[in-house]
Amino acid sequence: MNTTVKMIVVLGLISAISAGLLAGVNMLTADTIKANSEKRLYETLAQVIEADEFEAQEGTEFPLWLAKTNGEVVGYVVRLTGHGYSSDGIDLLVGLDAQATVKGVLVFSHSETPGLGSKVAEQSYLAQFVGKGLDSAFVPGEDVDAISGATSSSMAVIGSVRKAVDFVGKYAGLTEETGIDFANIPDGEYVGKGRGFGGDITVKLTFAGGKLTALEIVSHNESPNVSDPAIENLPQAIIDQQTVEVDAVSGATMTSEGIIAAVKDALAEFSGEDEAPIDLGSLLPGKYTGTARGFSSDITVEVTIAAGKILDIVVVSQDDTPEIAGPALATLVEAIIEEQSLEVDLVSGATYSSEGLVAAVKNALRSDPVVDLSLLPDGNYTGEAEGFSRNPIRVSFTMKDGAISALKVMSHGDTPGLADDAFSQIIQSIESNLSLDVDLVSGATYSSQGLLEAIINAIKAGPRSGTDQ
Amino acid sequence: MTILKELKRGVLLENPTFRLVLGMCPTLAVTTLAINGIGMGLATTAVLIGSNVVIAALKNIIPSQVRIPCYIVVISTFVTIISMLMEAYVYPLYEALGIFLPLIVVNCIILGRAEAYASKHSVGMSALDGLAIGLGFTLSLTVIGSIREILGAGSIFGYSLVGENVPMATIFSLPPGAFFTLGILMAVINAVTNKKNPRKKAAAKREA
Repeated sequence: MNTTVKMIVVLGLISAISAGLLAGVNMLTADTIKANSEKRLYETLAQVIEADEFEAQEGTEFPLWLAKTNGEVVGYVVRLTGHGYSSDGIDLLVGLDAQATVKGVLVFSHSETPGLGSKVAEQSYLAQFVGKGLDSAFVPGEDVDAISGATSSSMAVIGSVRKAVDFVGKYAGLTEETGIDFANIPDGEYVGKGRGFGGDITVKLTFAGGKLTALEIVSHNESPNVSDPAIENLPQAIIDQQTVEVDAVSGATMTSEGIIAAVKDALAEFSGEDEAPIDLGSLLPGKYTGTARGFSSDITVEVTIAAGKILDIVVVSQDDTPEIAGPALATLVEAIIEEQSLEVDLVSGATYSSEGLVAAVKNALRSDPVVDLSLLPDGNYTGEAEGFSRNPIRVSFTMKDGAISALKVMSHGDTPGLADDAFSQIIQSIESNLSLDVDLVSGATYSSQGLLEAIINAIKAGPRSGTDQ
Repeated sequence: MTILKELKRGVLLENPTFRLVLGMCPTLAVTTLAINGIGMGLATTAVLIGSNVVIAALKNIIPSQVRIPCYIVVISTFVTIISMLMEAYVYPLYEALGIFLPLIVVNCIILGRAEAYASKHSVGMSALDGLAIGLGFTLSLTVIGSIREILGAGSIFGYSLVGENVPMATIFSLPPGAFFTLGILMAVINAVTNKKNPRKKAAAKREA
């Protein structure tokens, strides 16, 4: 009994004294160790951009440090993880100056194939990104080199650098903010819909005193359990942070994105972006051209509209990875034409290219078309518009099987002679070209424009029944 | 006189690496560079002296049934203290020794000296034993590290001996090089000591 007690007491005492000693040494060294580890971090950061000090930022999408010299922000360092060939990410630091121009890139950990993918971690490869900025293109093989035999690794690095540039551009306010400022939203209730995993998610937002006070998910069709974290936590996160730019809940990304989209939809009128819905029915027949940014290049599309419908979409030019973007864009084009809507599912694996295509089509449909009269349905058209004088120019014409006939000005109040000559010139040109893309007649500009507007109004009004009056 | 005798015993006669063949794991793993060998050796020496002193002082208090846990607590305390100090003040070495620094705890030299020597001798003698054995260990690691660094990287303590672009026997920087170096050194040392001491040689022959 005595020995047992002695054993316990001695071992306990030795352990207690040891613990005390360790606590003491820890107190002595903890500060130095922390200072050293910060110093090493800064030395690493200093390899991608020169600065006196670095200040870690919290709550950003990617870990971000402000690089400061004499107390002024001279640049940024972003840490990102790109997914290359190996399942472990490529961890890299991108240093950018205040204009979001890349100053240096450093890969500090990766597990790519030694000798192939590992080449992307070498400065001889990474140096090519120095000088790239918001206006730069990142087309692999053209603007930036991809290492042959290590395409996945290269693309991961290229994509990460581009993400860093975009992120800093947005963070520094160099690119337009798409965010919605909750403080500017009038008090009231707003309802919006967004597409989640299982269908539309409807949300109701309540604003009071320039703040979002409640966010209720009115209805949804998401999978039980899986989506719960998003449905339970995301509304509170949006309320807490007073922004829709919140992180998706991992494991329930689709649901999260659906909720975020629904909130954005509810507040669309305050987003500052021209997100007025495109009404296909009001569009003139003809060809519309638009451009938007895809993954690594601009995507230009030509959209043909007739009778308020999307007839065709032709991708005029794009330089995204052909084997990925090509089929993806073809699928999307088909979906848009089939559904006659731009609210189509993006093609996974080619998200940037898909988004680029949809944005290009939207831009196209918001731009002025090259009107193609041959696409008009048969019928008699009449329309009027103001010309030079206050009396309207009234026109009528007949469409039959894509041909225009009997285009005439029925009445107008513009200067006789001068205007009449202009009208006949323009009518001739329209009838032969079947296009409204005609030269205005000099000396009768207002009359010419008035006539064209009258024709456009006639097209918008649509044909009257029957081909004979 | 005792001091010299003790040192000779620790460094030569009972050299932990080449004679006792203890602590092989750090010996093989960290000796890629001479400086790593010195660092590992000195860290081990510090722990060895500390634990020997404490264990010798407590040898009459510690009940023999729980002596091993007590030794381990004492040793691990010293190891943790050393590793915290190294992280704070000699970080590059701390990083180079990596996992082998905390693993000094289970280095059998230390527990072996505690059990075989410190628990039976006075505090002063135990400190001397720790110093002697520690220096022997340090010396062995430094010699192995130097040979591997010269052959594998063409430098010694970081100073380049040959120009750049001279191909070196990189295998000596890799794990197999550690076995080669250790094996050859041990053979040489055995041959030398056996020649010096023919009676021992005869004894070895008889035993075999």
